[in-house]
Amino acid sequence: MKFIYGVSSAIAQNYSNSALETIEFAGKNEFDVVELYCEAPDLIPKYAESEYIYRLRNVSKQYNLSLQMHAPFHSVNLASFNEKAREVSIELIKDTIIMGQALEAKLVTFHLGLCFLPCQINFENAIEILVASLNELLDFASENGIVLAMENRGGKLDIGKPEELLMIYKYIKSPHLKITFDVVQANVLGDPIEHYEILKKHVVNVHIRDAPKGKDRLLAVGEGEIDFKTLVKKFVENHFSGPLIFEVSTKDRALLSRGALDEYLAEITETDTM
Amino acid sequence: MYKGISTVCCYMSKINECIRLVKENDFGAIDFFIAPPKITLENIVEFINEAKKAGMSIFTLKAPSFIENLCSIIPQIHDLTYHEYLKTLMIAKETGGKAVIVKPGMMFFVEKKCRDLIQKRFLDSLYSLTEYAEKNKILLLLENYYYPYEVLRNVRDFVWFAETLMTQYENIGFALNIPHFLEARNKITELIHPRNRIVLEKIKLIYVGLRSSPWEYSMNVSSSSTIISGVKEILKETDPEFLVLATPSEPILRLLMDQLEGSL
Repeated sequence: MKFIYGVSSAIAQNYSNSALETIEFAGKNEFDVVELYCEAPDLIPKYAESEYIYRLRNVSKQYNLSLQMHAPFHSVNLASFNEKAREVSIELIKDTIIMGQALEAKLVTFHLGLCFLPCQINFENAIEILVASLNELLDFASENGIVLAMENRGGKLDIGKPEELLMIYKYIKSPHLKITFDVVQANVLGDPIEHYEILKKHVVNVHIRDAPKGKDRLLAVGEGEIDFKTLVKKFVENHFSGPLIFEVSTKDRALLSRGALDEYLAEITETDTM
Repeated sequence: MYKGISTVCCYMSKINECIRLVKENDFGAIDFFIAPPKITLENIVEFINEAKKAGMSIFTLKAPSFIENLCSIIPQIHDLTYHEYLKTLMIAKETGGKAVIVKPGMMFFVEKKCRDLIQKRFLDSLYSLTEYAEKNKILLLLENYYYPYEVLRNVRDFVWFAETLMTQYENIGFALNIPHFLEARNKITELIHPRNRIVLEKIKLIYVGLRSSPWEYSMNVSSSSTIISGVKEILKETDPEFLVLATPSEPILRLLMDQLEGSL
């Protein structure tokens, strides 16, 4: 078994050219995937220049890299009671899908939204709104051949706790709705291994970084307290090979993380074959 | 100084209840929090008219302020925010609202990396809103929040706004949210220090509620005594135009009223 490794363009130093810088880095260092973070100025959906998009597609092809997207998420709220805010949120994700299609991406990761006072008081209504937003997005995604992956979230106001993600599947049965499992977001709430076990059936993409227990940091695998060896074992048992996307603070940390995961994988597969 | 109640106290009942509470308790003002689905930019005028019919002519408007962000790098989010704030000012002009309260913005990781670009657009928008407020004699008040990425959070942020934007206009000031201020680990003693006189003079409204936030459902009842003593300390040093009680719970509202009694 071999993992599919990728890096997030959030790793870039120069944010006005984040996508190209990350693609060059990933290509030269033999990663398989780049996840394009669509909040950097060069990648804002609807505002990114078409020539630039064309160039990104060509350069990624030269390196044999696959591209996937991470939609904007700050202020995005698909469960908003404010209709205009909800419309803007939907449009931002649709625009990410359109940009993804131009880049031949097949996956768009997104966040569900936030639960402010109106949602805290009328949670069931908020979920109805969320489901309506998701249905609209899933129709659009399927027309464009894109899989939407909702990310698990651990913040106080975030919608995206494991039980909330599973609840969404009670309302929506679509082959286009999957999960991006963020290890550190799970760590903020509890035990990432337990959370992965709960969600694994739907997971198609993983965000990897390390942190102390209960914290959200951008550390390399091994610098924090997450039990990655057990997590890798769980991936192997589940026949999940990736993509594993490094969402860390520096390029060096991405390289270190890949090395660490490869070591765990070798240990686990050697033990299995003995 | 007008004492007021925020409509957030009736978030689980009817807005008319809030009008009743204001009258019953002899408060002079009502602060309408535009927070859909209850109160929206589309239906707020109806509620203002109801309040006026009940004899409540002094009111302020708190603009939508959940996902709103004038500092957002995403133009769609910035524009949504700007238009909501402008619309709130226009409603204040049309209906006789005394002040509009806005959340200035948040700077996340990307915004911090692109600070120059963001700051220019942020200030352009804020100046434009301020010009409108100034021309129409409406107070535009910037409210502090407590999350780490807020642009108005700490005493030094207050000083920065007071020394830049606020020096040129009379009608722009602060809505000091005391629960947010304390939640962000600020100290009242620092705020009322004589070197921060410029900030105190610009505090036109004070929100009183429980930590962590009057705009959330989590209620730390034990925080009420420090909040009330903070209010008393500030009122010794400055005389804002409005003091607004804000909590989504009516029992908590009554508790705050009782604790404030005698000090106002």
